Amino acid sequence: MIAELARELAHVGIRGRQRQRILTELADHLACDATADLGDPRELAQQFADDLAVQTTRRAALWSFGALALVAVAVGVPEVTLPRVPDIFGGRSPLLAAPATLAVVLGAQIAFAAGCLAVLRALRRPQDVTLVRRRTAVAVAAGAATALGSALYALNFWDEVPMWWGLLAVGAAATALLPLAAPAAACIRATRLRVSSRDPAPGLAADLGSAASPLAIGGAAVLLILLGTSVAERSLTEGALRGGFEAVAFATCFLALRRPLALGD
Amino acid sequence: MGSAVKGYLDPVVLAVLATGPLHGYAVIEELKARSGGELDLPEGTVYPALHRLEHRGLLKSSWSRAEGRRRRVYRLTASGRRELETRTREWRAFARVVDGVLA
Repeated sequence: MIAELARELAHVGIRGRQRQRILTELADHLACDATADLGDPRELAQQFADDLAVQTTRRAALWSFGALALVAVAVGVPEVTLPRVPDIFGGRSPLLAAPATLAVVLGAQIAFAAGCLAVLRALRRPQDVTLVRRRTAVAVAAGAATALGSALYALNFWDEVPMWWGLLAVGAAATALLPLAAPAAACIRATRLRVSSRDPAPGLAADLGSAASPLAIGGAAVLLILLGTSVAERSLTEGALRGGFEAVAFATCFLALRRPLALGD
Repeated sequence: MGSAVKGYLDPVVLAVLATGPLHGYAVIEELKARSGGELDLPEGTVYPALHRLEHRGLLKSSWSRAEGRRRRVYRLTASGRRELETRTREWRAFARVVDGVLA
């Protein structure tokens, strides 16, 4: 029984100290009662893996949310303290400015949406481990892209911004990357576990209730973007122009991530 | 009876540990004793429940040594005690309703 369980635990991805602890506990159980019915080793190992996957994935989702809040501060503070926005076509190279701006603008939105949805699903339907893991991974990757984009932006415009601001932007971005390592590692750990196959995870309705319509949410998001950019640019035309670009980019990302992040009905 | 209790295994395990620290085998023995032998679920299923409850912070565990063997002993935490109280209340309310309907 113990040898078979050891094989099954390795098969479902439980190794090291965790596996040793389970085997020691069950060996002690059999030493107390050699005729004990511990059940099928394969089912038992699967139960351990499923439970462990739920715990690890939920922890990764919650950690990522906390880490992304730090990224928001690390990117937001330089954004609001920038004394003068440099000309987008200036700087060292447009080849640096374009991806940096895109990473900050889109990365932040994707990280926020994916991070919130990961936490919601982890709390409401923790058994959807594959989906929670995928949403968390996207949120962490987008958060990292946002922080890197912010640093890249500062480096590109290094000669046109005050030295203190450049140092602040690069330092804050580098610091924000560190806490993202914990949820990233938890995601990788959870990926190693083989969970039982389940029905495909339901879409947004499982996160936001049955009244949630992806179209209505998308429309509201686009409206918010247009409103936000108009306020930021202090001009309706400029805001609509920038907001239009961001809305198209947002819609493209939504369509690209619709299936992997279960953003449908 | 064994399969019926599976959905309610976590509070049942918490209730057994409310009396004091126990290791896995003793938890199962206590479950059997308290149920008059009616709870005959595969004994192995209690271990994932113990690990799950510990991950949730409802139990704490530590190694001890008995008869030359290492043994994991579990104890209820303060959150575990609160969770047990909540689940007991919920169960009593549910049982009252079902009793009312079946009567």
